[in-house]
Amino acid sequence: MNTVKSKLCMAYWLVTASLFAGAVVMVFVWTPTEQTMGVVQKIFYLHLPVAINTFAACMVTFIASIGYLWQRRQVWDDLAVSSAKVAVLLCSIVLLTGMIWGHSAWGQWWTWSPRLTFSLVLWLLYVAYLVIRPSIESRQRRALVSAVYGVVAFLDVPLVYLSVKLMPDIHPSSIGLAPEMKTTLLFCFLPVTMLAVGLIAARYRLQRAETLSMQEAEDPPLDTIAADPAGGFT
Amino acid sequence: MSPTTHAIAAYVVTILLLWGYAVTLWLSVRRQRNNNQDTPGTIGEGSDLS
Amino acid sequence: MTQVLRQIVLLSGKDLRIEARSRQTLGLVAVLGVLIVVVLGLGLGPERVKSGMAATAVLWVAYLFGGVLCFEKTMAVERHDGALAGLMLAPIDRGVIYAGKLLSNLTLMLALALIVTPVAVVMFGFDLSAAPFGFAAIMAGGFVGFAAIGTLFAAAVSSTRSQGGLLAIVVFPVSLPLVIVSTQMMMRLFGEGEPLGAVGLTVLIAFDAVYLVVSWLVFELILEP
Repeated sequence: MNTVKSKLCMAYWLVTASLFAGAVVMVFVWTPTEQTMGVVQKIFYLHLPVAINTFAACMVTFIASIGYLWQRRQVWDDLAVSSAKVAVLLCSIVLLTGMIWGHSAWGQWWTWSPRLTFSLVLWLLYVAYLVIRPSIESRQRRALVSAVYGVVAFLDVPLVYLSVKLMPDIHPSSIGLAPEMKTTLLFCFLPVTMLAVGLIAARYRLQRAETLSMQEAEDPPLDTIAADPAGGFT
Repeated sequence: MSPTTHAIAAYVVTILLLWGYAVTLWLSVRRQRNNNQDTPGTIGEGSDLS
Repeated sequence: MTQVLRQIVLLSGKDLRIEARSRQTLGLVAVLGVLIVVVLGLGLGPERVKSGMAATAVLWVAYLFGGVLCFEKTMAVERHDGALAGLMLAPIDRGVIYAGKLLSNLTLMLALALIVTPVAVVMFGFDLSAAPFGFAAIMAGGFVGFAAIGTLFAAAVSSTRSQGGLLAIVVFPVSLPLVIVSTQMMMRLFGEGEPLGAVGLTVLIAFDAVYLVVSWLVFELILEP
């Protein structure tokens, strides 16, 4: 049973890796170069899927936080923190690729354009989520405070979006894409999404195991005490 | 820097971060599994030492 | 309805009376605010200080840091001698406790603003006479949302052991939209001389409403002695 599971896991990662490699080859070899922006536009095929997956990961954190507030079960907290970690990773990639693109297009690493600001605030929101957790000692309290923060942070995202709309904009709002470009973009969504799901799942598994070993250290299950006639003092 | 360098740099950064994290996770999962197998009291039981 | 209002006033009156007799928070916060204004003024240098819009940014920094200190202090009062446990046993709704704390925090922040704003306006040569009411309205809108979030997370974070800077890390990212909106509106108001439109004010009020409703709903989950 266990070997079947690990084989499936292996297969999932192999498929993701080969699809990812295929997507990169497709972007650089098959897709035509965009006329006005040139080669640097190829960043877009990775930038957009990663950005969409960032939202998806934030959404998972939000749902898991609500789940925790509703049921108070530790699994929800483990899921929330796992997806928050992946969300921060993905958001960092969005920021970095966006900055590289901006440097090529406008000659500056950073401009206070609405979308860059939006990504930055999103990144800060979820970095704060990860940073406050270790400072809270009790496990239940940490889960509760994080869950409340997870809900408030996600509800804050539309407000950030509305507020940056007031700022002056130089970002390309829509790009006319050739049919091949659309195909490539759609194809790129597949490995990036699979990777994001795989990362959240792997991180969740690890988190779960860590929580279980912590729980055992804090309050050992009754059956191990009962099974040990010396009451643990052997 | 040319646009091509920029594009390649962006891809390298993305691949390094994403797959680097995946490899880190894989290594920690594996280390953790090994730790679970060698918890005190179970060493030697059923292993190649016995 | 009147009873709820009476309870809110009673709760925050108690906080403010403690503050009036001890004067620990306001003195601390006011000096911190003035220090922030002075440090930023020195850091920017004489030329850039007079560039017009620097004052609003400096004021936001002073309000944010001073505000966080206020939120921490008003909640810390309840942690002494198990006062919070007593408060939670009292026959009042948790939402009323939230509203009371919010009112105390807003009063303290208003007092802070009354001290720090004139200092910054004078030192940065900011011409407030163009639209004094617009300025007050935008700042008030920002304060309500910021205090709403701050009051919620002060209750969450202050019960944890290490507090240094933790509340700021939680509250600042969440209140960034308020900073962005109010800065953009200030720039339109003072930079371009546009009068304060209904749209801008509606956005601010809508933000405040979201923050208030969410915090009020979540507060009772997080309150613990």
